[in-house]
Amino acid sequence: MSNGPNRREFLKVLGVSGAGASLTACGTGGAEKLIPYVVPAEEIVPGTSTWYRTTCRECPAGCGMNVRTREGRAIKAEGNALSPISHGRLCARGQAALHGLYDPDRVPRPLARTGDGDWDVLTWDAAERQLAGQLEQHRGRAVLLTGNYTGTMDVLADTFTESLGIRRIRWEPFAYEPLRAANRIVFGVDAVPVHDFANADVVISFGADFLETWLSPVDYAHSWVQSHAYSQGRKGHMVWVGPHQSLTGLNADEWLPIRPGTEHLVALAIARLIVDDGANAGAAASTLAGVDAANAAQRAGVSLDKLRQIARVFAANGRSLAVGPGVASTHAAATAVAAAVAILNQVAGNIGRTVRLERREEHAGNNGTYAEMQQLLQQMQQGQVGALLVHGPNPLYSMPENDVVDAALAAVPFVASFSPMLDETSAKAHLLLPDHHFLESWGDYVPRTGITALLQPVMVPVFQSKQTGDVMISVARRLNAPIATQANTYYDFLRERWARDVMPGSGMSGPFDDAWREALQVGYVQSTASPAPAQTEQAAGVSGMLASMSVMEAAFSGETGEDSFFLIVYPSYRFFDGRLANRAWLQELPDPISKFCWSSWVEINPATADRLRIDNGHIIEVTTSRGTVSLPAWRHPGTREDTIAIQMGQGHEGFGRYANERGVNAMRLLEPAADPLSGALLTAQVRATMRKTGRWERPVQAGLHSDQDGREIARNITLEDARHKDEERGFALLPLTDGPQTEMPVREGEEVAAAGGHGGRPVGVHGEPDVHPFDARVENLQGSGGWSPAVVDASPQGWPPPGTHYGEYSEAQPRWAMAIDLERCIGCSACTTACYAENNIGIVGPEQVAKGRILHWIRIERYFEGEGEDLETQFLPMMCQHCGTAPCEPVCPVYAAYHTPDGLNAQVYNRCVGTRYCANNCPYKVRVFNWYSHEWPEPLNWQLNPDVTVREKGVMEKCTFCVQRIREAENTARLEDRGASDGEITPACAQTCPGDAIVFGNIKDPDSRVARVAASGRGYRVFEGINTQSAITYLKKVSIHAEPASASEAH
Amino acid sequence: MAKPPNKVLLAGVGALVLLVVAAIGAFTVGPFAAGGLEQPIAFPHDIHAGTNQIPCMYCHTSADRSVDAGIPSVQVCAGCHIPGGVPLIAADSTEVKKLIMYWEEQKPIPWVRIHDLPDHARFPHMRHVNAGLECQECHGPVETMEEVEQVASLRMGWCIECHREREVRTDCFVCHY
Repeated sequence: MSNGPNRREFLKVLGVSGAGASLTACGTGGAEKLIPYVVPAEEIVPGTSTWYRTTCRECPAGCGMNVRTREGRAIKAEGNALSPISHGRLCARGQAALHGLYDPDRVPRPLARTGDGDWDVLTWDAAERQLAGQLEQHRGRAVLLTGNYTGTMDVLADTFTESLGIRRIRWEPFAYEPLRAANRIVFGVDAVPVHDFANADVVISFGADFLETWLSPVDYAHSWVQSHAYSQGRKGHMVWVGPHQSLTGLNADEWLPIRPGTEHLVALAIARLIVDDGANAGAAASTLAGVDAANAAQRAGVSLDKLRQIARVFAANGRSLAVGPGVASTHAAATAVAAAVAILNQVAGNIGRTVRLERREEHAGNNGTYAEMQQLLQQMQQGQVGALLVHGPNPLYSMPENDVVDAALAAVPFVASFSPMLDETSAKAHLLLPDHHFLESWGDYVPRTGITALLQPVMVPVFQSKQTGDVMISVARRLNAPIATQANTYYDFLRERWARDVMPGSGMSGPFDDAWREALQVGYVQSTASPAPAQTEQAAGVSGMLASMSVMEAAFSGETGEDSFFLIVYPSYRFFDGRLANRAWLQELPDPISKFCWSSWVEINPATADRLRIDNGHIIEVTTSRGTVSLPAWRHPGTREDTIAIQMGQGHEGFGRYANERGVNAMRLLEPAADPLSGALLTAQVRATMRKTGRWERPVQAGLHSDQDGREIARNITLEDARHKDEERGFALLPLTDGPQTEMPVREGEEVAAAGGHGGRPVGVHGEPDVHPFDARVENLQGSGGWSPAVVDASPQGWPPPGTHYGEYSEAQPRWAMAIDLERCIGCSACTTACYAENNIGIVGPEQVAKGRILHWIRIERYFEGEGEDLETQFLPMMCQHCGTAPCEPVCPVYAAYHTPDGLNAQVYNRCVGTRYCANNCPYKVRVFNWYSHEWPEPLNWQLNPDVTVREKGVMEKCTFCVQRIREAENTARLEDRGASDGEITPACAQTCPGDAIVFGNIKDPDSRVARVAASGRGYRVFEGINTQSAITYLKKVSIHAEPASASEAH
Repeated sequence: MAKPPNKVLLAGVGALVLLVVAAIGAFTVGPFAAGGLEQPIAFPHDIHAGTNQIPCMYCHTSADRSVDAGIPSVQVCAGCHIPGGVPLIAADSTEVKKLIMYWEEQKPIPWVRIHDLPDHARFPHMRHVNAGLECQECHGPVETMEEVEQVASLRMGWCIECHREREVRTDCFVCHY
């Protein structure tokens, strides 16, 4: 290939370095322009990253976030390690926040609807004038509908509405009303509790999907893994109680597939059994006295013995936690579930230990309920609302009664929306005042009582949007409203309030500017005031409320019978309530449960599907009393036979190009019914029928196979065997005990040091009790060289192994490797989205995904084994294994795939001619091919990482272990005249993993974390027997469903 | 009488010559030259770096700490030429007048890139500067150039040659990822 100008056209790559060159790309016939700053920003050094701390607002959890910017553009979001909410991690939604920032379908500037339904472009001045005029006209009849405002925005909204006589309604689709109502009834606190999963060895979840969406999923996932994952010979236990397993359910050790609507019966039965075993029932005594555990077990469809066993484990060591209900288990008795869970926690002694009830002056307690929204709709329809201002919620999409919402919106003379996106509700508005994306905004947020987190803009606004806080202040000034502030901007208002309220309460002293700067650098401040103590004694009257509910299961409307199914509508890990469906990364991300992309599906138990002769991809019509949707079927063994489930979040009818008309909106199947006690929308309330349409469509699914077929890709091990193996290796183990555990578990790797071991002692092939039949061949193949973890000493002297003929390992070079603990992988796929963000991976769209051409470099394999209560789900992150003897390398005719001296399996894009031989020869199927040149419509392309080449059509690509991060760390280390230290290099996947499952480093260094973790007795390599000598050591999942190694093999 | 030239043949030969010239051009001019575009301001490196002995890194400030050497902001130019907003050095030259215009309009100067590596090659300036390389080793004697031109081929072979001489890593993945 000539190196001439055509080559440049051929490899038109976007990753530009050079000051500001990326700002213009290139235009004039091959000559690039260099656009300098006029006045340079002080913090920006071209070619290096500048990081800003802010707070993620993609869901109400409020994770601390670091945003990496290059030449003034945000290119990557990561967790803020100082944040107690994110622990330095993010979920896939947080990772995809940049796709909200750069969404090409954002409302670019203020728009007003014309008579014929088109949009007129307005200046901000004209738009604010119009808004002020309307508020003046409808004084006393205006309503501000907001989402979950906390902190300063909440204060400002109150100031704004009070001074202008506007009524304020707050509504979050997931407002956890039953939790609040139950805590109000049981403990007298209108609050959502804070849960300490890190100190809970035994967790029972009554449908609360705390690893995905429930309350604070990143914190909870991170904390839960700390206590649950095998460490020092101990492991936590989780029980999932519910008719359907979401991602959290799939991670449970035990599944109680109860009949829908019986969670409270089961919770009370377990509490009763604990009291029967001698626990003090306290104030719950009278409630529990009337509980018949046997009857409850029968109604729920589980065995009483099983409940007894769970009760014993739960009460045993004083470190337990029950949570629930989740959004998907909000049925007519949801408040009773929450109350029963509170009682269960109380009898087990968890209140004040793993469950903290604190008054949340500023958080979720202030949210309204679904029932209040219904009232508002009624008032709108009756003409009581003259002007409606919407910021946050999208009721036309999120509420089941979309016809009512539509009519109500039409009945309001003036509707203004602050939504940055033209969603369903704002499409009905008369005036659009697009808010900044949170990454462009100043602000604060209270994710949890006592913590106030700061938001700061990480870049200049992409569009001509304006922060809603600024609009409110400006409009109030225009109307001469008596708002009690001198501030003219929201930024000033924020600082004013921080100086007055927040800083003094957090013990910050000294000049405000210094404290402010420090708070921005840390990302949050913590209140020094101790939270108002909650009353933990049961209030009177609870018995009456519960007594009426504790004997009956919640009703589901609709006909009963074999062909009528309980319908579960559950939140989406990727799209939350649907607000994130316009993020292309999330649409392309295979759903952690079903592996579907870009579409909806209905989950049917395989036995039911067999009975109805339904296979994956059959188009099914699901009908309830409210309506019919058609969508492909997916056989989900984690669903009861009498239950079907559909995920929320899809089926938008106007939310940008990535969300529109993809899948179905499951809310359309629900009756507009509210829980009478809490006012929550009931998501588990109707029965549905299914009809086969006779059509079949290729599922838009990125993992069609859920069965390992005995290939032993994701392996598991019993607790006893894991302990035995670790004992053999000289690791210190904690005794298995029922008593209270006083020490926090130490994560693996650290335990090696604790045991005084040198670490990194390799695992011998001999003595592997569960060695794969063809593993015996490994030894014979040693001579073919490469790095062989099976026999060599991990010391640098043992490197490279004798007989190496392949690869050019050099002694001075590290050997980059990974250890992935399957105990810590929850399958959430945040790693996949992080990888997309870091590595400029193309988005191929549904048609290509269906053809198997998805480009993800790291995928989560999800395998099912067993069924019903014995269902075992195994997750395994699979990416390029950077094999020592990589099968892809010798088949490349142009040496595009080759081995680097530091042990990476490299793919050189400019050499690749696209034969795809390498992909065919890869046993792990981790190489992906660019069938097309993928485009990032402006301004999505602003996000592209300038350190990574954008690949074009005809090029093979795959995981590089984030080589750009390795090189960056090497460059930095070199500047400081040192070597890169262990832990300095973290690939994007490992960085974001909420469970800290992935450890990366130089395995040649026996003291490195990766070498110590890989030395675990649970370590194995996928397809070890074919001698790929991979650089990734997986640590087996410890499972109660694992086959125990027989005594003879174990020795 | 001379035979009239065969027009077809002439055209053919002409086309061939053009092709050859184009081909040679493609290989000699260098693949990534400015393409004959004029710089927005005829900035004389010889006066700045030669006559006035201004160190390279006075303007290209990040060469020793970033992958990018950095193009000076307009403010850097103005700092000397228009200190405090008052035109001072060579204020009557037509080129400096252009600079004054850019500064007054607060617009960036759209320089044409001369040294342009393909985007699939990563060149960290700081590693090279800190290894003791003079800027001139790759960029040529810029201090003598009235108009900067590309001296080195910037081809991979040229890179590799130097890396081999100095016994630095030469595997693909050091620069191509």
